Amino acid sequence: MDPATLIQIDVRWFAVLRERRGCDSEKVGVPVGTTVGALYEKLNPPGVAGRLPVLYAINHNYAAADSVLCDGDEVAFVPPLGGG
Amino acid sequence: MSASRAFVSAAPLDVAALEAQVASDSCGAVLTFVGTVRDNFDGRPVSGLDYEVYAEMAVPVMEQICGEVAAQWPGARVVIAHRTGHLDLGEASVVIAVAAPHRGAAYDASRYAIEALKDRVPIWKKELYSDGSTWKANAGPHLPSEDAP
Repeated sequence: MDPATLIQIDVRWFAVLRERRGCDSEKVGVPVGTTVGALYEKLNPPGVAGRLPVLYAINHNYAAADSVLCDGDEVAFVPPLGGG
Repeated sequence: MSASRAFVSAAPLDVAALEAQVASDSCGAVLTFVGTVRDNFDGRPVSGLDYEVYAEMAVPVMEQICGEVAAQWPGARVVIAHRTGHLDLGEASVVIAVAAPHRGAAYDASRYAIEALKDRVPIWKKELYSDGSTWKANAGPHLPSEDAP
C-alpha cells in the first residue's frame, strides 16, 4: 500500500485518559506503518496534563509499543489498572 | 447468575452461587476470595467506588487467567466475577471462587488469580470521597517505568 494511504483505527479511552480526552472512543486515520506507540504520542503529546505509564492493547490483546497497526484495528491505551 | 467462569456484572455478586458453581465431588476444598469496598484509603474516608471496565477485553483476560489456573493446578475449578459501575461501602467488587482436590492448591490458585487480575485485567477504580474523587491504581510491577510522569 502507498505509505500516504491512511488506515482507520478505532481508539478506545478509559478512566483518567477518557476524562482527559473528553470522549470514550474515536476513529483516527493514520499512515500505513504507524505503530501503536506512535499513535499514543500523536494523540497524547507530552504537555500540561503530564504523562501516565500506559499499556497498549490491539484488538483486546496487550501489545508492544512497536506493534504496527492494521486497518480496522481497535486500540486501547490502558492507564494504570485498579481492578480487584 | 451466569454459568460462565469469567464475567463482569452491574448487579451484586452472589457469592454462594459462585461457590456452588465450582463445587465438585472430586474437590475436597472450596475457597472463596471476596474483595470489598473499604471505608478509607490510608485514613482518608472513602464513600464508595466507581469501577470502569473494558469488558470486551477484561472478560477474555479473566477467562485466560481461569485457563492458567486449570493448567497449573490439575483438577482445580475456578470462577472469577467482577463488578462494574458504582459500589457502596462493604459491597463485593470481586469474587474468586476456587475448588480443588486439596486445600494447598485452592489457596495457591486463589492467590494467583487475584494477583493476575490486579496486574492484567483492564478495570479501573475511582475512589469517591466527601470532597472529590481520584483514579486509584493497583501497586504492581507491570507498568513501564520509562514513560512515568
